[in-house]
Amino acid sequence: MSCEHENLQGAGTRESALQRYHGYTQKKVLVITGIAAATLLLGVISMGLGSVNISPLDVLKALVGQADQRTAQIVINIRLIRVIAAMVAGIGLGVSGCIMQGVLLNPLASDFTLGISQGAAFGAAVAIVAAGAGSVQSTGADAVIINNPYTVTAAAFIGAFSATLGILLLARFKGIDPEAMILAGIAFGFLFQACTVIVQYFANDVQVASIVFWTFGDIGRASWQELAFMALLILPVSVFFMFNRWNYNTLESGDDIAGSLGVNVSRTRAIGMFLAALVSSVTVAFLGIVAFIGLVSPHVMRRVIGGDYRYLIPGSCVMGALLLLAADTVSRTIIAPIVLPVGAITSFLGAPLFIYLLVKGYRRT
Amino acid sequence: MFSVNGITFSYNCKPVLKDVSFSIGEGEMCSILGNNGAGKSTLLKCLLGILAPREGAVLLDEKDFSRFSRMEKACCVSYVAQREKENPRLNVFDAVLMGRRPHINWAASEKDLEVVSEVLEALSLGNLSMRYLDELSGGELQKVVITRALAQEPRIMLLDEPTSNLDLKNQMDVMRTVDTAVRERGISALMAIHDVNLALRFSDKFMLLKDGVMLDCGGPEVITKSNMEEVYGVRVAIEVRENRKIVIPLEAA
Repeated sequence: MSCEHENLQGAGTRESALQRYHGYTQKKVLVITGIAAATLLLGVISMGLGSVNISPLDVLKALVGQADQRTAQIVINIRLIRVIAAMVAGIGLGVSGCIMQGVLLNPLASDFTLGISQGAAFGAAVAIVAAGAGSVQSTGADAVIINNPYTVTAAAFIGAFSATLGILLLARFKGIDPEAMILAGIAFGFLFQACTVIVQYFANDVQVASIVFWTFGDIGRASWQELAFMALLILPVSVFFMFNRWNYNTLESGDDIAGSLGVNVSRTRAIGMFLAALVSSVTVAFLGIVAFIGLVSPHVMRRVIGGDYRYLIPGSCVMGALLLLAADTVSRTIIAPIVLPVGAITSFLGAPLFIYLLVKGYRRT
Repeated sequence: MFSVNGITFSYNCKPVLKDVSFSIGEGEMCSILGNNGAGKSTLLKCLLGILAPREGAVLLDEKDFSRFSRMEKACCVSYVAQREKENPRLNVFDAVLMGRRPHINWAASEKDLEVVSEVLEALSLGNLSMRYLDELSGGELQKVVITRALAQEPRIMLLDEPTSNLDLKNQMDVMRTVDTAVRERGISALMAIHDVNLALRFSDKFMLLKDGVMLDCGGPEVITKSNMEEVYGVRVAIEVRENRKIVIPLEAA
């Protein structure tokens, strides 16, 4: 009888430990869902802001086809694409930053420290100068236009991705470790920067203006087709990352432990790097350089819900979407009708946020 | 039954292990003794399947271990390293749940969660389960890592100097944890360890390794003055206190 009683008690405490754990994971799901909901809400508000202000209710009406034609025109044809582009690009940048930091075991890994952004700028500069893809319009806020966006986008992508390919080849054939991979990325970044400077030096005024303009990330640059392309890449890659979430968790404990848990370490690392770089290269190639989203989103989520990749991956997605949408909304509205480059806003908000996270430290106590 | 038949391994033609053979039974704890560079860690990694020996075979119940897939290996053998580099923002429960990785396909099942909470309770870490790893002391962290290795439900645990970097009390705690797990769960443990006296207190078997060659293997009877001086290159005295041998280093030979 007493033995039975003890068993029951044992089961009781175990269940409560399990219950506490379930509560803990439910809280994380709740946080992620909350951020996703906040992003959607901000999206609705953002679609109401601009040269014509529309109430959130009217925005919702327009989205379901219940608004007058003029409102529907503005919401659906002008502002919806921008909001969706910010969300999709934010998801892409957030998730790729999260995976880069995970597989390279380095909290500084991002499209900047791996030479992706600089590579994209160099590729775009070459296309603008060599292929004559840039020119200047005389009027309006968007004074500079890119004549031949497809050439520039393709060249930017090639530039962005070549740094990562270089790093992966070094890892494959020279066996360099993750720490050296990020140093190689920084070196590639400086190399591309130097190359861009040389290209700019030999370019004319118009071309230099076009290059500089291109590097200011702009969410409004994407067309529906480009947006669909980005989404069709980012979605399956994010799902793939989720399939590997346990493996990314094990990598954090060191290669030997990961190996002892049945994980193919070098393959997980190489494929993770390849896909994360692919996503951020494509995003940067379409929209220009958008700093800090890839770096800050995973950091914020690590603080809020912890470093478990099962939740960190979706968390970084929603946080990236929220941050980029917020930055884009600010860039459109802060000194309207002028639209500031979103890349400047993300740096402006991202850098202090990052420093705050560093100073505050990771310890809760 | 885990047995090693004539393992030979070299890094870039430099031989590290030469024809090492031994075996461990269930519920047995075996310590590998030897100086730095004697090949202890290399031997453990060969058994783990991270390194492939040039010659010889590792057998688990007479089956060739090298034929196992990564996940099959991970279901049989778990590993505890000396200095853990851990994800600081993982809580203890999740860190132990990671040990279920080889058993999990898509999501952790209720059984996985139950195994984790059972092992945490067994090692009296239940009250720490919701703490983040960066809030733990070195001793607590090492116990979490051992808990993870047990949650993996292995047949054999390999430990690479699990007690270095720990204070005296935590060394004893960690060794007692491993000892209890081995006896109660009937698994085997093979451990590289520098502290001979700690090894003498908890191990059933000793393997003496010098420059990649196995000098001797057996029960406490192999811990002799001549063997110790040969393995460590240090003059020693051996005394008996409370029915236990104690090795006292005297001076370099």
